[in-house]
Amino acid sequence: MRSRHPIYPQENVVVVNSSSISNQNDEFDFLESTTKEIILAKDTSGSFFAEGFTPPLPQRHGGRTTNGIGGSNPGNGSGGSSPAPSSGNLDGNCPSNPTSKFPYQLAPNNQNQNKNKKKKNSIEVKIVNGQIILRVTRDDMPFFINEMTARKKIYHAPDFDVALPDNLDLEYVKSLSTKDRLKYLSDPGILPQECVGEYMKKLGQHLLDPTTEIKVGTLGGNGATKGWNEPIPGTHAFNPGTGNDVFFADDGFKFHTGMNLNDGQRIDLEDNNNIL
Amino acid sequence: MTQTFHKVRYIELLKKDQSLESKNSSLYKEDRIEYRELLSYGVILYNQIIYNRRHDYISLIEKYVTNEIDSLLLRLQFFQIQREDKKIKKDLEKNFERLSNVLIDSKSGEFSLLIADIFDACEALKSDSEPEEAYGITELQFRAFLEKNFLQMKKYSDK
Repeated sequence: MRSRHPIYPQENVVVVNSSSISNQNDEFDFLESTTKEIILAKDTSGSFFAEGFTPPLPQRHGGRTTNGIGGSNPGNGSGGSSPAPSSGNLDGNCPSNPTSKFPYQLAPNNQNQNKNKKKKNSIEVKIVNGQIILRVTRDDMPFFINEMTARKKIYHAPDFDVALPDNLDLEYVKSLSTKDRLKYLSDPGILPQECVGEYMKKLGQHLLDPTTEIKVGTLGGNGATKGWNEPIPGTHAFNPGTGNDVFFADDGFKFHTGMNLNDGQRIDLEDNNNIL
Repeated sequence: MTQTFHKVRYIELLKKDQSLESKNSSLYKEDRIEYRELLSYGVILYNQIIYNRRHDYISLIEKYVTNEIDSLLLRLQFFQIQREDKKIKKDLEKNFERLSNVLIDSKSGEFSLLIADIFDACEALKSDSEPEEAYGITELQFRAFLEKNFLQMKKYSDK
Protein backbone atom coordinates (compact mmCIF):
# COMPACT_ATOMS: atom_id res chain seq x y z
CA MET A 1 0.00 0.00 0.00
CA ARG A 2 1.29 3.41 -0.88
CA SER A 3 0.17 6.44 1.04
CA ARG A 4 1.12 9.95 1.87
CA HIS A 5 2.75 10.46 5.18
CA PRO A 6 -0.01 11.59 7.59
CA ILE A 7 2.09 14.20 9.33
CA TYR A 8 4.21 15.33 6.45
CA PRO A 9 1.89 15.03 3.47
CA GLN A 10 4.25 16.76 1.09
CA GLU A 11 5.00 15.10 -2.20
CA ASN A 12 8.49 14.17 -1.19
CA VAL A 13 7.54 11.99 1.74
CA VAL A 14 5.77 8.77 0.96
CA VAL A 15 5.27 5.83 3.23
CA VAL A 16 4.93 2.33 1.90
CA ASN A 17 3.62 -0.31 4.27
CA SER A 18 4.38 -3.79 3.12
CA SER A 19 2.95 -5.49 6.18
CA SER A 20 2.06 -4.74 9.73
CA ILE A 21 4.61 -4.77 12.48
CA SER A 22 4.34 -7.53 14.98
CA ASN A 23 4.60 -7.08 18.71
CA GLN A 24 3.74 -3.43 18.55
CA ASN A 25 3.95 -2.96 22.27
CA ASP A 26 7.67 -2.91 21.87
CA GLU A 27 8.33 0.31 20.07
CA PHE A 28 11.72 -0.80 18.83
CA ASP A 29 10.87 -4.37 17.99
CA PHE A 30 10.95 -3.44 14.34
CA LEU A 31 14.69 -3.13 14.61
CA GLU A 32 14.82 -6.87 14.71
CA SER A 33 12.13 -7.43 12.17
CA THR A 34 14.14 -6.68 9.04
CA THR A 35 12.15 -4.96 6.32
CA LYS A 36 8.55 -5.43 7.28
CA GLU A 37 7.86 -1.81 6.66
CA ILE A 38 9.65 0.31 4.17
CA ILE A 39 10.11 4.01 4.05
CA LEU A 40 10.14 5.28 0.54
CA ALA A 41 11.04 8.86 0.02
CA LYS A 42 11.91 11.05 -2.88
CA ASP A 43 14.86 13.32 -2.51
CA THR A 44 15.09 16.83 -3.85
CA SER A 45 16.60 15.65 -7.11
CA GLY A 46 13.47 13.66 -7.80
CA SER A 47 14.87 10.18 -7.44
CA PHE A 48 13.39 7.71 -5.01
CA PHE A 49 15.22 5.68 -2.49
CA ALA A 50 13.85 3.13 -0.15
CA GLU A 51 15.23 1.60 2.91
CA GLY A 52 13.94 -0.76 5.51
CA PHE A 53 15.13 -0.12 9.02
CA THR A 54 17.89 -2.50 9.83
CA PRO A 55 19.43 -3.27 13.18
CA PRO A 56 21.81 -0.51 14.23
CA LEU A 57 25.48 -1.22 14.42
CA PRO A 58 26.58 0.38 17.65
CA GLN A 59 29.69 2.33 16.74
CA ARG A 60 30.37 5.30 18.88
CA HIS A 61 33.45 7.43 18.94
CA GLY A 62 34.51 6.83 22.50
CA GLY A 63 35.50 9.96 24.29
CA ARG A 64 35.88 12.12 21.27
CA THR A 65 33.83 14.68 19.53
CA THR A 66 32.81 14.70 15.94
CA ASN A 67 31.51 17.75 14.24
CA GLY A 68 29.60 17.01 11.11
CA ILE A 69 31.17 15.51 8.06
CA GLY A 70 33.70 18.07 7.06
CA GLY A 71 31.18 20.57 5.82
CA SER A 72 29.65 18.21 3.36
CA ASN A 73 26.45 17.73 5.27
CA PRO A 74 23.77 17.88 2.65
CA GLY A 75 20.90 20.24 2.55
CA ASN A 76 22.11 22.82 4.99
CA GLY A 77 25.05 24.86 3.97
CA SER A 78 24.26 27.78 6.18
CA GLY A 79 26.19 26.50 9.17
CA GLY A 80 26.03 28.13 12.53
CA SER A 81 22.90 27.78 14.51
CA SER A 82 20.53 28.81 11.79
CA PRO A 83 17.45 26.67 11.58
CA ALA A 84 17.01 24.13 8.89
CA PRO A 85 14.97 25.16 5.86
CA SER A 86 11.74 23.39 6.72
CA SER A 87 11.10 25.14 9.96
CA GLY A 88 7.34 25.29 9.60
CA ASN A 89 4.97 27.86 10.94
CA LEU A 90 5.98 28.52 14.49
CA ASP A 91 3.69 31.34 15.43
CA GLY A 92 0.69 29.16 15.99
CA ASN A 93 0.05 25.70 17.22
CA CYS A 94 3.20 24.12 15.97
CA PRO A 95 1.96 23.09 12.52
CA SER A 96 4.34 21.95 9.87
CA ASN A 97 4.79 24.26 6.95
CA PRO A 98 2.80 22.59 4.17
CA THR A 99 5.23 23.82 1.55
CA SER A 100 8.33 22.72 3.36
CA LYS A 101 10.15 19.58 2.42
CA PHE A 102 10.66 16.87 4.93
CA PRO A 103 12.98 15.22 5.45
CA TYR A 104 15.05 18.06 4.15
CA GLN A 105 18.17 15.94 4.08
CA LEU A 106 17.13 12.78 2.44
CA ALA A 107 20.28 11.78 0.71
CA PRO A 108 23.81 13.00 0.32
CA ASN A 109 24.09 15.48 -2.53
CA ASN A 110 27.81 15.69 -2.88
CA GLN A 111 28.18 13.44 -5.86
CA ASN A 112 31.85 14.18 -6.35
CA GLN A 113 32.94 12.76 -3.05
CA ASN A 114 34.46 9.35 -2.89
CA LYS A 115 31.72 7.01 -1.79
CA ASN A 116 34.02 5.22 0.60
CA LYS A 117 34.61 8.44 2.50
CA LYS A 118 31.05 9.63 2.41
CA LYS A 119 29.13 9.28 5.62
CA LYS A 120 25.43 8.88 5.46
CA ASN A 121 23.09 11.46 6.95
CA SER A 122 19.36 11.01 6.66
CA ILE A 123 16.03 11.12 8.42
CA GLU A 124 13.56 8.32 7.93
CA VAL A 125 10.01 8.25 9.22
CA LYS A 126 8.24 5.15 10.36
CA ILE A 127 4.75 4.65 11.69
CA VAL A 128 4.34 1.81 14.13
CA ASN A 129 0.93 1.28 15.68
CA GLY A 130 0.03 4.85 14.81
CA GLN A 131 3.12 6.22 16.52
CA ILE A 132 5.80 8.16 14.70
CA ILE A 133 9.36 6.92 14.95
CA LEU A 134 12.25 8.76 13.38
CA ARG A 135 15.48 7.12 12.53
CA VAL A 136 18.11 9.78 12.12
CA THR A 137 21.41 8.70 10.66
CA ARG A 138 24.27 11.03 11.41
CA ASP A 139 27.77 10.15 10.25
CA ASP A 140 26.57 6.58 9.75
CA MET A 141 25.35 6.42 13.33
CA PRO A 142 21.65 5.63 13.82
CA PHE A 143 19.60 7.48 16.40
CA PHE A 144 15.95 6.83 17.18
CA ILE A 145 13.35 9.31 18.29
CA ASN A 146 9.98 7.87 19.25
CA GLU A 147 6.73 9.72 19.70
CA MET A 148 6.02 8.48 23.20
CA THR A 149 9.23 9.91 24.60
CA ALA A 150 8.82 13.10 22.62
CA ARG A 151 5.35 13.53 24.13
CA LYS A 152 6.74 13.12 27.62
CA LYS A 153 9.36 15.76 26.94
CA ILE A 154 7.07 18.17 25.13
CA TYR A 155 7.69 20.89 27.72
CA HIS A 156 11.12 21.30 26.12
CA ALA A 157 9.67 21.80 22.62
CA PRO A 158 9.79 25.62 22.86
CA ASP A 159 13.58 25.30 23.25
CA PHE A 160 13.53 24.05 19.67
CA ASP A 161 11.24 26.84 18.45
CA VAL A 162 8.15 24.68 18.48
CA ALA A 163 5.18 26.46 20.00
CA LEU A 164 2.94 24.41 22.24
CA PRO A 165 -0.71 24.28 21.18
CA ASP A 166 -3.12 26.79 22.67
CA ASN A 167 -5.05 24.13 24.52
CA LEU A 168 -1.87 23.02 26.25
CA ASP A 169 -2.20 26.01 28.41
CA LEU A 170 -1.84 25.82 32.10
CA GLU A 171 -5.33 27.08 32.89
CA TYR A 172 -6.74 24.27 30.81
CA VAL A 173 -4.63 21.71 32.63
CA LYS A 174 -5.86 23.06 35.93
CA SER A 175 -9.44 22.47 34.84
CA LEU A 176 -8.82 18.78 34.25
CA SER A 177 -9.49 16.11 36.82
CA THR A 178 -6.51 14.30 38.28
CA LYS A 179 -7.38 11.24 36.24
CA ASP A 180 -7.55 13.24 33.02
CA ARG A 181 -4.27 14.93 33.77
CA LEU A 182 -2.54 11.58 33.81
CA LYS A 183 -3.71 10.97 30.26
CA TYR A 184 -3.10 14.54 29.28
CA LEU A 185 0.04 14.30 27.20
CA SER A 186 -0.90 11.02 25.57
CA ASP A 187 -4.19 12.41 24.31
CA PRO A 188 -3.82 13.40 20.64
CA GLY A 189 -6.84 15.66 21.06
CA ILE A 190 -4.91 17.78 23.52
CA LEU A 191 -1.42 17.35 22.21
CA PRO A 192 -1.86 16.67 18.49
CA GLN A 193 0.47 14.32 16.71
CA GLU A 194 1.32 17.18 14.33
CA CYS A 195 2.78 19.12 17.22
CA VAL A 196 4.80 16.20 18.52
CA GLY A 197 5.87 15.43 14.94
CA GLU A 198 7.09 19.00 14.52
CA TYR A 199 9.10 18.69 17.72
CA MET A 200 10.55 15.40 16.53
CA LYS A 201 11.43 16.96 13.20
CA LYS A 202 13.30 19.73 14.97
CA LEU A 203 15.17 17.18 17.05
CA GLY A 204 16.16 15.39 13.86
CA GLN A 205 17.26 18.62 12.22
CA HIS A 206 19.28 19.49 15.30
CA LEU A 207 21.04 16.18 15.01
CA LEU A 208 21.83 16.68 11.34
CA ASP A 209 23.02 20.25 11.73
CA PRO A 210 26.72 20.11 10.81
CA THR A 211 27.55 22.39 13.72
CA THR A 212 26.00 19.98 16.20
CA GLU A 213 28.71 18.02 17.95
CA ILE A 214 28.36 14.38 18.85
CA LYS A 215 30.05 13.33 22.04
CA VAL A 216 29.93 10.26 24.20
CA GLY A 217 28.90 10.97 27.76
CA THR A 218 26.32 10.47 30.45
CA LEU A 219 23.09 11.87 31.76
CA GLY A 220 22.25 12.00 35.43
CA GLY A 221 25.72 12.17 36.95
CA ASN A 222 24.58 14.85 39.38
CA GLY A 223 21.44 12.90 40.24
CA ALA A 224 23.62 9.94 41.16
CA THR A 225 25.34 12.05 43.80
CA LYS A 226 21.90 12.69 45.32
CA GLY A 227 21.30 8.97 45.65
CA TRP A 228 19.19 8.64 42.52
CA ASN A 229 19.91 6.16 39.74
CA GLU A 230 23.30 5.57 38.26
CA PRO A 231 23.99 7.88 35.32
CA ILE A 232 22.88 6.67 31.90
CA PRO A 233 25.67 6.20 29.36
CA GLY A 234 24.88 7.58 25.97
CA THR A 235 25.53 10.20 23.36
CA HIS A 236 25.11 13.95 23.51
CA ALA A 237 24.31 15.95 20.41
CA PHE A 238 25.19 19.48 21.47
CA ASN A 239 24.96 22.57 19.33
CA PRO A 240 27.14 25.37 20.72
CA GLY A 241 25.30 27.93 18.59
CA THR A 242 21.81 27.27 19.93
CA GLY A 243 22.91 25.79 23.25
CA ASN A 244 20.54 22.86 22.68
CA ASP A 245 21.55 19.37 23.67
CA VAL A 246 19.80 16.13 22.79
CA PHE A 247 20.73 12.98 24.65
CA PHE A 248 20.41 9.45 23.34
CA ALA A 249 20.80 6.49 25.68
CA ASP A 250 23.20 3.83 24.52
CA ASP A 251 20.53 1.23 25.09
CA GLY A 252 19.16 1.24 21.56
CA PHE A 253 20.38 4.78 20.84
CA LYS A 254 16.98 6.01 21.88
CA PHE A 255 16.06 9.63 22.37
CA HIS A 256 15.97 10.34 26.07
CA THR A 257 15.67 14.08 26.36
CA GLY A 258 16.54 17.32 24.61
CA MET A 259 16.70 20.81 26.00
CA ASN A 260 18.40 24.16 25.98
CA LEU A 261 21.31 24.15 28.39
CA ASN A 262 22.08 26.98 30.74
CA ASP A 263 25.69 28.03 31.24
CA GLY A 264 26.15 25.80 34.29
CA GLN A 265 24.93 22.78 32.35
CA ARG A 266 27.22 23.72 29.46
CA ILE A 267 30.16 23.75 31.84
CA ASP A 268 29.15 20.32 33.13
CA LEU A 269 28.95 19.04 29.58
CA GLU A 270 32.26 20.67 28.66
CA ASP A 271 34.10 19.37 31.73
CA ASN A 272 32.42 16.03 32.39
CA ASN A 273 30.51 15.12 29.23
CA ASN A 274 27.49 14.98 31.50
CA ILE A 275 24.30 16.89 32.12
CA LEU A 276 21.84 16.73 35.00
CA MET B 1 26.40 42.30 49.97
CA THR B 2 27.92 41.72 46.56
CA GLN B 3 30.45 39.20 45.40
CA THR B 4 33.19 39.70 42.88
CA PHE B 5 31.79 39.73 39.42
CA HIS B 6 34.27 40.77 36.78
CA LYS B 7 31.80 42.67 34.68
CA VAL B 8 34.45 44.43 32.64
CA ARG B 9 36.00 41.15 31.66
CA TYR B 10 32.58 39.57 31.09
CA ILE B 11 31.60 42.36 28.73
CA GLU B 12 34.95 42.12 26.98
CA LEU B 13 34.40 38.41 26.35
CA LEU B 14 30.81 38.98 25.25
CA LYS B 15 31.99 41.56 22.73
CA LYS B 16 34.61 39.17 21.46
CA ASP B 17 32.11 36.35 21.13
CA GLN B 18 29.59 38.56 19.36
CA SER B 19 32.26 39.85 17.01
CA LEU B 20 33.29 36.29 16.17
CA GLU B 21 29.67 35.36 15.67
CA SER B 22 29.33 38.05 13.02
CA LYS B 23 32.20 36.33 11.24
CA ASN B 24 30.47 32.96 11.43
CA SER B 25 32.65 31.81 14.28
CA SER B 26 32.45 31.84 18.07
CA LEU B 27 34.55 31.83 21.19
CA TYR B 28 33.59 28.18 21.52
CA LYS B 29 35.42 27.45 18.30
CA GLU B 30 38.31 29.85 18.74
CA ASP B 31 39.30 29.70 22.37
CA ARG B 32 37.91 27.11 24.75
CA ILE B 33 39.56 28.65 27.79
CA GLU B 34 37.94 32.00 27.20
CA TYR B 35 34.68 30.28 26.32
CA ARG B 36 34.82 28.48 29.66
CA GLU B 37 35.54 31.79 31.39
CA LEU B 38 32.58 33.40 29.61
CA LEU B 39 30.33 30.59 30.79
CA SER B 40 31.47 31.05 34.38
CA TYR B 41 30.41 34.72 34.30
CA GLY B 42 27.18 33.68 32.64
CA VAL B 43 26.49 31.34 35.54
CA ILE B 44 26.88 34.19 38.05
CA LEU B 45 24.52 36.42 36.07
CA TYR B 46 21.98 33.64 35.60
CA ASN B 47 22.08 32.82 39.31
CA GLN B 48 21.23 36.41 40.08
CA ILE B 49 18.35 36.42 37.60
CA ILE B 50 17.00 33.27 39.27
CA TYR B 51 17.44 34.89 42.66
CA ASN B 52 15.54 37.96 41.54
CA ARG B 53 12.63 35.65 40.72
CA ARG B 54 12.92 33.55 43.83
CA HIS B 55 9.39 34.39 44.94
CA ASP B 56 8.02 32.93 41.69
CA TYR B 57 10.01 29.75 42.18
CA ILE B 58 9.12 29.41 45.85
CA SER B 59 5.46 30.04 45.11
CA LEU B 60 5.47 27.41 42.37
CA ILE B 61 7.12 24.76 44.52
CA GLU B 62 4.75 25.57 47.36
CA LYS B 63 1.80 24.93 45.05
CA TYR B 64 3.15 21.49 44.31
CA VAL B 65 4.01 20.70 47.92
CA THR B 66 0.49 21.69 49.02
CA ASN B 67 -1.07 19.65 46.19
CA GLU B 68 -2.49 22.66 44.43
CA ILE B 69 -0.79 21.54 41.23
CA ASP B 70 0.56 18.20 40.09
CA SER B 71 3.99 17.30 38.78
CA LEU B 72 3.05 17.87 35.15
CA LEU B 73 1.87 21.41 35.80
CA LEU B 74 4.89 22.01 37.95
CA ARG B 75 7.24 21.02 35.14
CA LEU B 76 5.38 23.00 32.50
CA GLN B 77 5.52 26.11 34.65
CA PHE B 78 9.03 25.54 35.95
CA PHE B 79 10.56 25.19 32.50
CA GLN B 80 8.56 28.20 31.32
CA ILE B 81 10.10 30.34 34.10
CA GLN B 82 13.52 28.96 33.19
CA ARG B 83 13.03 29.98 29.56
CA GLU B 84 11.98 33.46 30.62
CA ASP B 85 15.05 33.72 32.83
CA LYS B 86 17.29 32.70 29.96
CA LYS B 87 15.70 35.36 27.79
CA ILE B 88 16.34 37.99 30.46
CA LYS B 89 19.97 36.89 30.52
CA LYS B 90 20.25 36.96 26.75
CA ASP B 91 18.81 40.48 26.63
CA LEU B 92 21.18 41.66 29.35
CA GLU B 93 24.13 40.23 27.46
CA LYS B 94 23.24 42.47 24.54
CA ASN B 95 22.83 45.56 26.66
CA PHE B 96 26.21 46.27 28.18
CA GLU B 97 25.05 49.38 30.00
CA ARG B 98 22.38 47.48 31.88
CA LEU B 99 24.73 44.57 32.42
CA SER B 100 27.32 46.80 33.99
CA ASN B 101 24.72 47.92 36.53
CA VAL B 102 23.78 44.43 37.68
CA LEU B 103 24.60 43.72 41.30
CA ILE B 104 25.18 40.19 42.46
CA ASP B 105 23.75 39.06 45.77
CA SER B 106 25.97 36.65 47.63
CA LYS B 107 22.97 34.40 48.31
CA SER B 108 22.16 33.98 44.65
CA GLY B 109 24.63 31.14 44.20
CA GLU B 110 23.20 29.08 47.06
CA PHE B 111 19.63 29.66 45.99
CA SER B 112 20.23 28.76 42.38
CA LEU B 113 21.78 25.47 43.48
CA LEU B 114 18.39 24.56 44.89
CA ILE B 115 16.82 25.49 41.57
CA ALA B 116 19.38 23.40 39.69
CA ASP B 117 18.43 20.45 41.89
CA ILE B 118 14.78 20.97 41.03
CA PHE B 119 15.65 21.07 37.35
CA ASP B 120 17.46 17.75 37.70
CA ALA B 121 14.57 16.25 39.62
CA CYS B 122 12.02 17.42 37.03
CA GLU B 123 14.06 15.74 34.34
CA ALA B 124 14.56 12.58 36.34
CA LEU B 125 10.90 12.14 37.24
CA LYS B 126 9.52 9.08 35.53
CA SER B 127 5.90 8.18 34.99
CA ASP B 128 4.15 5.35 36.78
CA SER B 129 3.90 3.46 33.51
CA GLU B 130 7.66 3.18 33.20
CA PRO B 131 9.31 0.01 34.46
CA GLU B 132 10.83 0.03 37.92
CA GLU B 133 14.32 -0.47 36.56
CA ALA B 134 14.03 2.48 34.17
CA TYR B 135 16.17 5.50 34.86
CA GLY B 136 14.63 8.15 37.04
CA ILE B 137 12.87 8.80 40.30
CA THR B 138 9.33 7.94 41.24
CA GLU B 139 6.67 10.49 42.06
CA LEU B 140 7.08 9.61 45.74
CA GLN B 141 10.82 10.26 45.65
CA PHE B 142 10.21 13.42 43.66
CA ARG B 143 7.74 14.73 46.20
CA ALA B 144 9.99 13.92 49.13
CA PHE B 145 12.88 15.67 47.41
CA LEU B 146 10.86 18.79 46.63
CA GLU B 147 9.43 19.00 50.12
CA LYS B 148 12.94 18.97 51.53
CA ASN B 149 14.08 21.45 48.94
CA PHE B 150 11.13 23.71 49.65
CA LEU B 151 12.05 23.99 53.32
CA GLN B 152 15.48 25.22 52.28
CA MET B 153 14.04 27.61 49.70
CA LYS B 154 11.74 29.23 52.20
CA LYS B 155 14.74 30.65 54.01
CA TYR B 156 15.16 32.99 51.08
CA SER B 157 11.54 34.05 50.74
CA ASP B 158 11.64 37.18 52.88
CA LYS B 159 15.11 38.42 52.07
